[in-house]
Amino acid sequence: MRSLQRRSGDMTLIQINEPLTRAGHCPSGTYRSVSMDIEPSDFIVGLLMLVFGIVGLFLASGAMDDEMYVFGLTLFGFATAFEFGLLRRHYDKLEARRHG
Amino acid sequence: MADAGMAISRLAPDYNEAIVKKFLIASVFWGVVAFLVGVYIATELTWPSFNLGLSFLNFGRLRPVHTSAAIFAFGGCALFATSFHVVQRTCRARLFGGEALANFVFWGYQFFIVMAALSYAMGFSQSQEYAEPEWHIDLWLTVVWVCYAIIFIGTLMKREEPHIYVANWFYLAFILTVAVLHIGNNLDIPISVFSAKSYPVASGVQNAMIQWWYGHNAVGFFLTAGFLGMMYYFIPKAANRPVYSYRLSVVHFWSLIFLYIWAGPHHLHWTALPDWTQTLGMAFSVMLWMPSWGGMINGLMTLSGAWDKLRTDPSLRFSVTAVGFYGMSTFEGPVMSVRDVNALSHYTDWTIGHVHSGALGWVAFISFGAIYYLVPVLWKRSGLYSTRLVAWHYWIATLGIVFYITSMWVAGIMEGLMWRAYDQFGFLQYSFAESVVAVHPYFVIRLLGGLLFLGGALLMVFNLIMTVRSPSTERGIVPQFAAVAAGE
Repeated sequence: MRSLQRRSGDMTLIQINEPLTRAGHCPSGTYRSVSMDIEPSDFIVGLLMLVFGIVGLFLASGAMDDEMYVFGLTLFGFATAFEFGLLRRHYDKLEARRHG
Repeated sequence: MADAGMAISRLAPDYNEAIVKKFLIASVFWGVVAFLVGVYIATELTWPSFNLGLSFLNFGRLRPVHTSAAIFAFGGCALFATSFHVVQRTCRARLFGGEALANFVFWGYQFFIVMAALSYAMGFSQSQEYAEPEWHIDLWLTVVWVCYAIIFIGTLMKREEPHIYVANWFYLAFILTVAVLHIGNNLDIPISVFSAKSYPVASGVQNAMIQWWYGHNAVGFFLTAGFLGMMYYFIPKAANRPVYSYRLSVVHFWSLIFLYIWAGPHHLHWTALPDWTQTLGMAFSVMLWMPSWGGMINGLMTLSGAWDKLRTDPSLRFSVTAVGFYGMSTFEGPVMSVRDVNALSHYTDWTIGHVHSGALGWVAFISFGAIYYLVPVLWKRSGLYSTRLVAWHYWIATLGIVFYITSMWVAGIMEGLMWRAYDQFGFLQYSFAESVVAVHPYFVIRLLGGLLFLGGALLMVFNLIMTVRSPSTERGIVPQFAAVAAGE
């Protein structure tokens, strides 16, 4: 496929696509370093929230009283919202670095 | 030029100010909620029909909402905000653990506050003062608190300043001791993992002793040590003076934390607790007077040579008055812990007045001082929108406290005297209901005091919003070197 494109003379397209498919050959090297830059704390907290979300669902599923039912569901909702927040912040940072 | 740029980045690290801002906003928000609920339940105590016959508006359910909102939500968020600000600035290091962990502590703590308040309104409680949340909420708080400790201690460990400033010692004592107290007092066995109801491991007088070991040290380490950390940073900063005696601050720290932990039994005078334990609690409470006043003197004397600033800086006036209230309530506390005084004061509204002279006069005022200092700094504004409004806030709130505590003194002493009065035949002279009728006017005065305090807080909210938004407080370039000049 690559050789076909080269033969067709569409070198610009190949160069644009290259960083996405073969990060090691990125012309400037910037895109690769930005896309891999996940902070360890983001990852650990993300995992922690995943566990809390599941625990919340588990507690709500067998709740014997209103309090536990409300707590379990709210914990699940909180964990989900927090995960989305982590994702949003990650891509916001990525955008900022790309344009900065 | 390049060297100069490097010097700036080395001297002024990229502090995580976003988390400080979040906690500061939360503190102001929860402060208003706490004062509002306080005013509402004061109205209920004055005119009980204000509960409207609704279970979730019942005094018994709303009272822990008020105390938790005041202590853990308003006070707690103020402590988080200031501790994160102080530890970064005095260690010259960005918060340890990254943005995600700090955000987890913020949102996790807000989740705890909301869940706790909701559970009280729904009628769920451990029925232990200041430790009302049931086991599942306690576990959640433990996770959040451990993350908080990791951030704080991690930041101290990666500090670029060799010395750990005394404010951080107080914050650290607050963080570690509250963790131990919270876990120790909440060793419960749930009836099922799917049920909110649990029972404590200890029972009877042992449970009561553990509860008041926790309860008094919640006052000692949450409401005192943490806020002393605030005092040791913000008063010198606002007054632009060094701490009066750094040696005294260290003596203050060690003596305070050693003595406070033993004082809990004074909450259980004249109960089934052994006499020797009551005496021990009383003796340590009286001894506590000295380190407390040592701290007060250190805070007040820091203004030596800068007393004139009290005329021009009303936010500093808050901080200094807070130290005055701290001195007053830490004198009143040991007096009330003496067993014979306690025989009169216990279970009366005198205790409520004492608590509020500490909570409103000390905790809230020192927090207001810190908030007024921090908002222009964090939002990069030239100053507060209106210092006149700060002055109005100060006087309205002070008047509110005076109404509150004087009415509760009179009501409390009256209750104590009426409950112990007996006639020539040995019968009690007054029924309990008669003492309730007698204190009614003082409950109205207390309500008025609370309304004034709430009104002052609303003025503060308006002033802070305008400080952030008004074009009149804009400033051009952020003076990065100013921080360096201030020794940070």
